[in-house]
Amino acid sequence: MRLLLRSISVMLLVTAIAWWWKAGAHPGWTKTTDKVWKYDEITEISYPETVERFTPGVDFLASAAFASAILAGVSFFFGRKAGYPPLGANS
Amino acid sequence: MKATLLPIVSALGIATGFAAPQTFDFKDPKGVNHAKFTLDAPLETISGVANGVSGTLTVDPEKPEATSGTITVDTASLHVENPVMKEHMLGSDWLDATKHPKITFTVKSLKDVKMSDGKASATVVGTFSLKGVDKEISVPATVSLLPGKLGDRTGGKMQGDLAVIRTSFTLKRSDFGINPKAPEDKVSDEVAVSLAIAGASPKK
Repeated sequence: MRLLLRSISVMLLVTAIAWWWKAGAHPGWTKTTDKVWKYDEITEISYPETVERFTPGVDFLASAAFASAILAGVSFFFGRKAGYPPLGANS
Repeated sequence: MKATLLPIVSALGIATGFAAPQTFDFKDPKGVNHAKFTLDAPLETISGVANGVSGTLTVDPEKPEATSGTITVDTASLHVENPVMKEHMLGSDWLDATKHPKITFTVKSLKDVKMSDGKASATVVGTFSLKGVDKEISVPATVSLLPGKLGDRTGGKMQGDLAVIRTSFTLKRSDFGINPKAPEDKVSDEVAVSLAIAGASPKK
C-alpha cells in the first residue's frame, strides 16, 4: 500500500506537469475558454469568438502538487511489510 | 467652432451620401461588436471581452456636434477565461451584474471633429454609467461611414448604410465603487477599455 500510494503520487505529479507543459505551459490561471480572433471584411473589425477549451494554469499545477503531497503523506501511515529480521538480530 | 466644423461636416455628408440625420442601430446579430478591457497590475494582468453591445446613435452629418444616443453593454456578457474569476467579477463585490445588468455610455455631443483618410475623428462627450455611478467623460473616437454597405453585410436582405466606431479610453474602477478594497498590486485600479462597433441604418 505504501509503495502503491507513493507511485500514484509521483504519477499524478508527473502527469499534471506533462499536461500543463503540453498545453503551452500557461503561466496564469486555468482557462476553460479561449479567444479565436476573426476579421469582418466589411467593417474591418477584428473580433473575438469564444471557444470552449481547457488550458491548465498554475492553479492546476498547484492542486496536483497538493494532491500528490497528500497521497505521499498518507503513505507514511502504512508501515513497511514485515520482513525477516536482520542477520544476528537474535544473537 | 461651428464655422470651422461646417465645411468638414458638409464634406463628410457629401462624400458619404449622408445628408439628413441618420440613426444607427448597434444591435449585432453577427457578434462582431465588442469591448475589450484590461487591468494591468504589477502582479497580475486581467483581460476580457464583452460582446453584448447594443444601442443607437443619431448622427447628423451637417451637425455632428449634436450626435446623440446610447451605447449599452450587458454586464453579464463580460467574459474572462477563468470561470472562478468570471463569477467573482460579476458578483456583488465587483460589478454586481444582477443589480446592475447594463453598462451604458450616453453620448451628449461631439467636439474637435476632424476628417482624415475618409474617417472622422472626434472627442465624444457623454455620461458613463457603471454599477449605479454616473460619470461625465470625454473619449477619443473614430467614425467611419460606409454608405450602402449594409446590403453586403446582410447578403442583400437589407439595404442601407453602416457606421463603424472605435474608441479606447481608461477608467478607474475606484470611481465607480468597484471593490475599492481590492489590492492594487493584484487588480489594477485603471481599466483600459477599447470598443469596436458597427451600427446599421437601413433604408426605409
